[in-house]
Amino acid sequence: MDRPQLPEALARIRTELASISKVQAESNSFAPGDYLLREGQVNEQVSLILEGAVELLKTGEDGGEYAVGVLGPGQLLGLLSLSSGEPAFLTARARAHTQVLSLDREEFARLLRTRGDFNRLVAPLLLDNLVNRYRRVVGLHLEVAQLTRELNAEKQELKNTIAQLQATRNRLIQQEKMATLGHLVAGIAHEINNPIASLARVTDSLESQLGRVFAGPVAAHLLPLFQRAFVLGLNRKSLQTEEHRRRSEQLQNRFPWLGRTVIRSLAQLDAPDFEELYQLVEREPERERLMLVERLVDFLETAVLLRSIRIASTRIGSIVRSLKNYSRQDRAADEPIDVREGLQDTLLLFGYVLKKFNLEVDLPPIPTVRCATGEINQVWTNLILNACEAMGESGTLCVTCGTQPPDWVWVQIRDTGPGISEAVRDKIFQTHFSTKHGAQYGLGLGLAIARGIIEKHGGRIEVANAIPNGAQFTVYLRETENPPPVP
Amino acid sequence: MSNIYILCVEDEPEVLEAVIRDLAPFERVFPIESASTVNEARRVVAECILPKGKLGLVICDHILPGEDGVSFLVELQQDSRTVAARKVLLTAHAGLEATVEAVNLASLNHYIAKPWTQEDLLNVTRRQLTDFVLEQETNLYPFLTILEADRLTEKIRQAPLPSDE
Repeated sequence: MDRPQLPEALARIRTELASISKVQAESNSFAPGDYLLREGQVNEQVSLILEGAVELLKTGEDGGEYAVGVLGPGQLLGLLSLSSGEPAFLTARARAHTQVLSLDREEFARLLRTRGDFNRLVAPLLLDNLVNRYRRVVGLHLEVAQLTRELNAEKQELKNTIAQLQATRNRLIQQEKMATLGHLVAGIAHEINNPIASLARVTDSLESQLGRVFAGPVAAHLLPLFQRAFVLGLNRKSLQTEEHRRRSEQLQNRFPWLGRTVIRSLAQLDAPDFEELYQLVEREPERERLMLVERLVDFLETAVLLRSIRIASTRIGSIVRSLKNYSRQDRAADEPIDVREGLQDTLLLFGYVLKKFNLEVDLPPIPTVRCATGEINQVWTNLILNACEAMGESGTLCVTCGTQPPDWVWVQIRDTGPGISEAVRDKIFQTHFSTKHGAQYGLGLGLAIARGIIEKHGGRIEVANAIPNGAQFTVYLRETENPPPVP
Repeated sequence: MSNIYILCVEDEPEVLEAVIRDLAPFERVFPIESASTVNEARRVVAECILPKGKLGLVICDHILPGEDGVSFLVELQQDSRTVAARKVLLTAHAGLEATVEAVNLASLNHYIAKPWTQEDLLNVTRRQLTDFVLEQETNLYPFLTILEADRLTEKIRQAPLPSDE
């Protein structure tokens, strides 16, 4: 029904109703906030709103009241009860000053059936009401569909964001691990390069050295001298450059006729060994002594070169062994291990980083701990690199361990860097916290990763400022429980 | 003529031995001294080299215990008695930053990566020592047989003959 015709239609309904005898149509007024109908109440009336506005409310499953629509003039209240006889489906409350015309529902139904004129007047209103309600239902459906779609989109977006965050976090952790790995590789390259350089040079030198050894025949009676020189060279001990220099000076003063290179070689020998050899040389005629000493040095140097090969290959072997132990892929994740081995391996592999610093290592025997070697070594690596970074160019790194009742094993890594201020102490284990600007050894995830690993192993990590300066990190791990007694 | 010394600084004994062994051909003219730490190297320069001669060439490892090689080279560069010495960095750890620092602050003359070959080491040493004697020495004849003879003779030819004075 068109709106402009509405007041007129309502007036006619009113007149019509008044003209029908025996019909008790009540005219009621409601102030804003007054209830016309309460949900669940038995409703015996149909009300036609003449003016004002009526708010419809429905109680939700959560007990809250939700506005579901507003009725205005020309709309009917109580239609549901009219058709079904059920209690009121909605609560109706006046929103403005409202006037309604109410009729008993049975009376209303009877009039609709019996009075053609009433029917003609009311039917369009009823239809209008139904159409309105139907529209609203359809509209609500659309709205619900729209909301559901939006909600789903948001849900998906949220899911994507979480996945992205997760991926970013994993990538960062991966990058941090790669950074550490990069350091490890650089360390190994450096550690292995020295013995390799030594090996490469020794092999070249051996060629010419052996050439000299085989250059001439050796008189039978001199063989023991050269053999002795060879054995002494093989078993030569490592010598400090200062001691070597001191011996060289003494020898040079005593034998000014010997060249520096020969003197340098002879200075490798301990005094008693040198005297033993020189006694043999002195038995020979004086004119042959220089030649003899030079030949002796050829044998001695050949042996020293062989010794260098042995030392270099032993060194490379120990680096490779440390490397294998460091990652320890072949061991079970919860095998009882001596964490000191991992500490030693880590210190060896990162030797080139540690060279700048004084190193104090005090690792008395401690009980074993059940853990994944590779992971726990990552903890030592992160703590040690962190300490080195904090110290900058110089300082002292202390690595100690011990036990604490009832069943804790602890490892402490202490540096003499600037320490950790109160303000940041709680934050250092957080992902992405870093005091490093353009971090040297990683991305600043090191401590977060370390804590993650320690907690996974049921341990804990504590940080404090060392005395008099620097930071100290203490890792507590549970010692391997006693194996159950054999029944 | 005072002695012109070669100083090798390296903390790995076997590597130090290898360097010295490779340089042995120079030793009849240029005595070789060695040290395993920066501190010791300082003492060797002050006590063993400068009282008896000049420091002609330093071959220094990069990463040394305590102090690193670059800072030692910088120190030599700042000392008037050693500023003329040719400076060579020997390293297994070719970090760009340290190299830049060495070139800029220590006037690093050459950079040798480990492992090296004897030929390389001899060539570098020969060139650097030739540069040193050309710059520092007036009498170049003693070096003709051991250093770069063509560059030395060129300089000798250019020099005014004693009779011209």
